Formats: sequence, C-alpha cells, structure tokens
Amino acid sequence: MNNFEKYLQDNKDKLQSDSVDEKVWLMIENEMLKSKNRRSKRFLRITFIVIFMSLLGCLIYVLQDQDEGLNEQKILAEYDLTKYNFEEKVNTKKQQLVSATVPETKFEDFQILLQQLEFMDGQFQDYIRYIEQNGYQEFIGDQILNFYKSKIELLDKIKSEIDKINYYEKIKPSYTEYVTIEI
Amino acid sequence: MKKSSLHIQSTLLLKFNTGVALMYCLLFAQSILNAQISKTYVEEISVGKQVEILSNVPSSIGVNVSGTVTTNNTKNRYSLSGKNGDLRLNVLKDLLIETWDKAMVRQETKITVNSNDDNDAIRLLALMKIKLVNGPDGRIDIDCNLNIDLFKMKNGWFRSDDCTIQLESGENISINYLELETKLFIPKYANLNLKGNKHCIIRLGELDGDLDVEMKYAEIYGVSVNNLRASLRSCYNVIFESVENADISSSNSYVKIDKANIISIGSQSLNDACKLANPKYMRSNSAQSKYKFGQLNTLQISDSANDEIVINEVDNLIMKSSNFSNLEINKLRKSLIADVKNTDISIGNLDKDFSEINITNALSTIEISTDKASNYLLSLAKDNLIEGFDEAKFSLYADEGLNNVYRFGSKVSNSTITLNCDRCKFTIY
Amino acid sequence: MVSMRTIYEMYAKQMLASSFRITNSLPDSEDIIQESFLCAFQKIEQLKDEGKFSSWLKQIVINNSIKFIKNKTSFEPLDEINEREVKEDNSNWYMSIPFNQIRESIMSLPDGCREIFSLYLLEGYKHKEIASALGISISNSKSQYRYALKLLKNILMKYHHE
Repeated sequence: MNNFEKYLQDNKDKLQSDSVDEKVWLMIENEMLKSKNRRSKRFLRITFIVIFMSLLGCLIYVLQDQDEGLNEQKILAEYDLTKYNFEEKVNTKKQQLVSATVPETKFEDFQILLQQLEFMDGQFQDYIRYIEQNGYQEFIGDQILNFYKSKIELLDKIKSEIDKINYYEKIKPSYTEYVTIEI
Repeated sequence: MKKSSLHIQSTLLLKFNTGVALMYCLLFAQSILNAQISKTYVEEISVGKQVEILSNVPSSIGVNVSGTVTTNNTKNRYSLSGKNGDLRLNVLKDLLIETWDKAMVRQETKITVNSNDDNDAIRLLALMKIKLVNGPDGRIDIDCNLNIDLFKMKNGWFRSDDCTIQLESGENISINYLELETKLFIPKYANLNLKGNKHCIIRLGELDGDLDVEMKYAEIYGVSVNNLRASLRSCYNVIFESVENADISSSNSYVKIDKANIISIGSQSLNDACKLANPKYMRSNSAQSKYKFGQLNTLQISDSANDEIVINEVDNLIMKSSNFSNLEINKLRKSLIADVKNTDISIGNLDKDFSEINITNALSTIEISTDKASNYLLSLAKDNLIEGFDEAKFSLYADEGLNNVYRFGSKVSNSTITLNCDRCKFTIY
Repeated sequence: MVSMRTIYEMYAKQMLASSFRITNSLPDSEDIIQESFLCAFQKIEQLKDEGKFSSWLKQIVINNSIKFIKNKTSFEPLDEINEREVKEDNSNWYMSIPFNQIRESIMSLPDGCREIFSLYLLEGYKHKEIASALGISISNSKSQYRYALKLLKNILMKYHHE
C-alpha cells in the first residue's frame, strides 16, 4: 500500500457527504412505529389467547374436579340409589360416634371394627370404579344396597360394642384412661 | 354357418334371464351379509387321567372405551351400548361348565358379529380360534374370549361409534356389534382353576376333582367338588351342594355349602387380585362375609373379623382367631374349641354326648342350649365378670382355685364345658 | 440509554457515504441505509456486545449495498497494469487536493472498479471477500482495484497540476 492509499484510508471520514436527508430518518421512524404497533397487536393477540386458554384450562379443571367430587353422588343418583337416604343415615350414626370413648386397654381390639369401616369405604370406592369402568349392572346395584345396610349394621355394632364395654367398665373398672375411638 | 334370428333372440333372452338371476343372487347375498353373522366354534382336546384346567370367565374380555357408553341393565349379560344406545358388545356372563365322563375338554363359543363392511365380519370369523393347548405340565388353558385381546369403542361429539376388535395378533377389525356365548365341557375328574375379576355367573356340574377359584364379583353355583380353595371378594352367591374339603378366604361375600367334611375359613390370605388397592383396609383373611353351612364334620376358623357364620350341624369346631364375628350353630355334636374376642356364640342344640366346649372369649354373649339328658361338668373362671349365669340350676362340684366347677346331670361323664370369658353374658339352659 | 435518533445521527453520514461509494446513487443509498437501520434497530437485542454496533451496522449496510449492485455491475476489461508503477509512487502530490475533489473523483470512477476500490481501501474488505460477494475472481478484484487507483491518480493529478 503506497502513501496515497494510506492517505485515503486515514482520511476516509473526510470523504463523506455533508448531511443525510431528514426524510431518511422520518421513514425509519415511521417504519419503527408501524412495527411497534404490529408487535403490540401481536402481543395483545397472544396475551388474549394465553388468558383465554388459561381460563379455559381452569374451567375444565374446575369442572373435572367437580365431576370427580360428584362422581360418586352422580352414580348413586343415576341409579336411584339415593332414595334410601343411606348416606344421611350413615352420617348421623357416625356423628353419634365421633365423641365416643373406650378404655385404653380396649382401644387396640376396637381398631378391628374401625378397620372394617375403612374396608367398607375402600370397597365402596371399588364399586364406583367398577361402574366407571364397566358401566352399571344390576348385580352391583344390589351389592351397593347391601353395602349400605351392612355399613349401618356395622355402625350399630360399633355403638353396641362401645355400650357393652362401658357397661361392664362401670361394674368392673379397669382403671385406665378413656380414649376416643377416632372414627 | 349363419345363426337364425330366433336362435339369436333366445340366446339374448337366456343371457338377460341369467343376468337378472345373478343380480337377484347378489342382492340376496348382500342382504345376508349385511345381517348379523353367527358362527359356533367348537374345539375338543383329549386329556390324560390327571388334568388341570385353567379358565378365565366370559366377562374378562378386555374393553377399552373412549366416549359415551351405556350399559344394558341385564343380570346375565355384559352389554355395552354406544352413543345412540346401539348395542355394541353383548357377552353372556353365564359360563356353563358341564362335567362328563369323557377324557376330553370341549369349548363351544358362539360368536355373532355385524360389521359395516361384510368382508371385515367374514375376516373376523375366519381369524377366530379356540386355543385348547395341552401344555407340558398337563394343564389346559381356556380363553372364553377366544383370541380377542380387546374390544375398543370410540365416539365423540361429532363422531359416531367406532368399534374395533383387536386380536392377540395385533390385528384390528372394524365391527358394529359383537356377541359371545361360551359353554365348557370338562372331565369329572379334572382339577379346575377359575379366575375372574368382573361379574360373571359360573354354573358348574358335579366335579370329582378340585376347584380353585380366585374371583371378584362372581356368582358360583356348583353341585359338588372334592377340594375347594376359594379366594373371594364381593362374591355374593357362592353356593355348593356338597364339598369334601373347603379352604375359603373371603371378604364381603356370601358362601353357602350344604354339606362338607372339613371347611377352613381364613387359613390363607386373600390372593392379591382379590385384595383392595389399599392393604390397610383389610387385615383379616376373612372379613365382612356371611357363611351358611349345612352339615359339616369339622369347621376350622383361622382368622375372621366381623363375619357372620351360621351352621346347621357340625361335629367339631375350632376357632383360632376371631374378632367381632358372630357364630350361630344350630346343632353341635362333639366339640367347640374357641380362643376368640368379642365373638358372640350361640349353640342351639348341644348333643347330649358332646365331648368338649372350651371357650376363651371376652365382651361377648354366649348361649348354649343343652340336652336335658346330658351330663357334663361346667368350669367357670372365678375372676370373670359373667352375667346371666343361673347358678341355681347347677350344683357346685369342685372349687379348683381359679375356677368353680359345676355339675349338670346325675351320671358321670367326660363331657366338659370350660368358659373363660370376662365381661360376658353367658346363658346355658 | 441512548435513543435511536442519537444512534442514527452518530452513524447515518458514515453509512450513507459507504453505501453511496458502492451504489453511486444517492436515493438508492438512502433506501439502503433506511432499510439497514431498521434491520439493526429491530434486531439490536441479538447484539451481545454494544461496542460492536457500528461495525455490525456497517456490515449490514455494505451487504445491502452489495446486494443492490450485484448483477448490475459490469467490470471493464483491463490491460496489464504495472504494479510497480503504482506501488513505487511515494511522493506527496495529493496532499494539496481538497477532500471534496477527491470524493468527486472517486465517484467519477467506473462503477465496477469504484465499488472494489471503496470496499477494499475504504471499508477494509479483503479481495477474497470482495470476490466472493460480487461473484468475480480474486485476481479480477485485484486488477479492478489497481485500475481504480491508477484512474483516480490520473484524475487527481490533473487537479494537482492545475
């Protein structure tokens, strides 16, 4: 590279034109504004879609959740199993047992009866699952009716066993603490 | 040679008639093909003198439904209808198992199928197979659903029922309707093993061999079997006229056996398939079940909770573990040994020549009705709180320190009743 | 934070000059820098090092300018130029010539050689890059550059002697 070339290279800034027409910037600014508007619109559109989808998701979730909660009742109502008011009777009987107490020495034995209650609840869930998977069938309606009768019988039995324990406890105290049966 | 016009006319007429006839044939064939097609598959296999047969039940058919499904409320049909209530699957839940003297197993399955495309129905029928395989261990496996792996149905808001049969080979065939009915014939001497987890109704003839059942929601009606081993959950009718020996574990079930030599309850835990999902629900091998027995030689109760056991006549009864179960015996001939808790026991008629009643119990009601002609010694623990015992009817025979021994009858006898039951109501008359 | 207007003002003149030297058309160069600034502003978030903005912008402007002239430019066939003649000129004859004169002289050069001259000497591109961008051979790029330099010298010498 000779001196002339170096001279030109070193002074290339001085080889620039004086000014740039203002319209160039105005065009740039105009395009930027349009683009910003487009972006804003796109952002608004996306925001709207996201909010809409979220609301839809929430709605489906809530409905599903309600559906699960009501599933048991729905099935019972659908097959006219609620007419016997078993649920109400069971709840009333359970309520009567909430504060029931037995001597601590009998608590362990008593757990077997409470396990039976848990077992019945598990069995009931199995009925519901069976109906969900295979549809309602006559036999399962019979079993559910029987189930409720058995559950009421069991609650009656728990009550009478508590009464029996406490009756004998009065006659022959075991001098241990009383504990709630935790039904 | 030139043909006459009459000959040409007659040839044309013949061709026309043939064409019409062919058209009618095709239409007829079409109408037949569009209708349901039924076929009964029969398969027999010779077996040896020792044979074990393993069978599932018709309602075991795999079902995969996505969309709206309704069920037809019939007792002995497993029926599924689609979106518009059209019947799509119809399985006879009754499984009739006849026993015969032949050394042969026979399966008869009737399939009725209907498809939009007749070729599909024909293809499905062609692919159906009964597999009675005589395995190396001599076991015959029976599949009541032939080689159907899955019945699939899909429908939706804008989509009508789409039903497919998936075969074990993986092949899928579109159909509109499937109906299955199965009947089995097995040798009397065979050992039969039945498994199922959906409602079904088993009707079994006289079986000299053993029966092993692992069932949920089943009904079993049997005539007679040699050894019965049953693991049952929610089986509301398990009824046998006669069983030599039975070993039953069950929950939420009803079992009735009219006559048996030895019955054992709760000696084994329920099979996994019969357990509830959460093991905490069930800790006893027999629970929440009702048993009704006719004549028994021996009943052994190994593990029972909240069962109801009613026996018409029994010679010997052993209760190893029972909690909150109730035992009602109409007639006890020889002995009752019970180490239980909270278990009410009622003996309606104790044979005058009985040998031993030995009950360890607590917080329960015990009623024993003895024969007036009987002679026995009654031993009661002194430290027990017992109500209802009428001491005046007895004479004190001996004071054995911890026990008081009373005597009933004037003759010397080896018959004894020993009761260790604190906080109990005890009535003996 | 610097506004876009400020950035524009900082670089617009320089960018227009670079583009103009290539296109030799002011309206087209104005369009090119407008497009280039827009592109740079929209993608400015992609630029990791803010200090490299000017070179990045220059790159966009040059690329757009080359894109504009590509396939429009014809290169004059050249006779063999004595390289030594060009290289050995070490006198300072050009110092008295005003820069606007030099600028105009550059712009009066034939399109092809002017573009290569601008890209090589004033924008710092290598002949290999120029050849690749314009779709010509490296030797042609070099020849066109020498030709432009010779022509420019001849034009400017006139002013020098005047």
